[in-house]
Amino acid sequence: MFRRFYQKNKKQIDQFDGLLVNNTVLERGLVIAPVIAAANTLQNGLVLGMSFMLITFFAVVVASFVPKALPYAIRVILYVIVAGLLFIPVSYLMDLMFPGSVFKVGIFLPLLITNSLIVTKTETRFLKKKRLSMMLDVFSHVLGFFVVIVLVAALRELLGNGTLMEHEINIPLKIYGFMLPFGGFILLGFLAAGVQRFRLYLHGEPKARKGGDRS
Amino acid sequence: MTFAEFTMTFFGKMLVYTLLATFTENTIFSRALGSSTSLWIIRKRYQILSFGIIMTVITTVSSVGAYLVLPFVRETQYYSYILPLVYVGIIAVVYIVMLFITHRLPLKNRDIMLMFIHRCAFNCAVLGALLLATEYELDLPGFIGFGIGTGLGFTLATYLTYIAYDRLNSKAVPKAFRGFPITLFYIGILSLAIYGMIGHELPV
Repeated sequence: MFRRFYQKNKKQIDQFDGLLVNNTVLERGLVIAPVIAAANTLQNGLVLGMSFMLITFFAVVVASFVPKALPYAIRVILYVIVAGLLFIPVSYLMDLMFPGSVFKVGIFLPLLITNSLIVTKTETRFLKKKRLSMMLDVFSHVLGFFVVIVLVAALRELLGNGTLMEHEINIPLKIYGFMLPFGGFILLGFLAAGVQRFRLYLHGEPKARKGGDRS
Repeated sequence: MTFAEFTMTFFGKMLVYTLLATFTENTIFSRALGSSTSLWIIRKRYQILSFGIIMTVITTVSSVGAYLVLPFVRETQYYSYILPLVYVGIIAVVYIVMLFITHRLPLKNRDIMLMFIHRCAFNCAVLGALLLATEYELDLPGFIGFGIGTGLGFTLATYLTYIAYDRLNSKAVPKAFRGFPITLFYIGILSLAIYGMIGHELPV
């Protein structure tokens, strides 16, 4: 049912593919460092997710006004400088909303200014579109990132620490490994596999045969 | 302190921080910094060593710049807010200089080298190395060693992933897990192995 609906409305749905099917983290493997290393509590996830949304969205929108006549290297430097300038109010805002959170996420908040969506995808994808369509595309990508980082952070805090936003939740088993980077890699691996399976289903790929060719 | 003692201490410290950044603080296995770039090199089957050398040079030279500029930035009231912007400025200068030098050199694979520099400069691993060295309050040999180690660690982690990449993409792996998802599992397991090798234990 989903597949038929998707194939019928492919053009419209693909405008929002950054949300799930072309998700920045789960499909493209971009900006995975904050998800794996710092998103181990829901608060960290919210701080990084919101900061990423604000910095990336506005940096790409400002980047669309940078003249194409400038050399590529200068354009990229300007994009990153814009992101660096946006980092100042955003980190201040996060510190107001979640006191002490900027310290907790450490280097991963400033690292958002050199994220792949700003440095590479701005040129290779976003700026090839008309401004309104580009803004929609960037928004779906940053929202997709926000959903993933918050989901991963909540799952890791719950399964690894037995808490959610630092409130004790009564669960019978805590797996501390989820709080560490390797737990992040493995959890993200499962989520990426889920998205890959869903994408194969949407595109109508035939089911894999058991015990296939091992070449 | 004699000149010989100073030299020994300087290079000894540098070596220690290089080893630390290469193994225990490996940019990919401990913080996933530069993972997407690492996967990009492997997918496109570019030369890992060339990319690694370029990254090591950019990280090391930027680290020296960061160390020299840091005392002036620290004097400002809101230094933690402006520090990333200053570091990006330093990386930008190194980036432009490297592009300029590469254009001038009679290199065979100049276009590929230029592409590597473009891809390398504003990489999370480069900025991450500078921010980590600052957070650890390292001295000059520490900054240089950490910069070199970050580049070497990135190269090592990329190579270890490259070794297994064909198998991870083979038909032996179920379609849903093939490629990126199983690569995350693989890096995760290596990350756990290094975490254990250092001597860490998981709390029970």
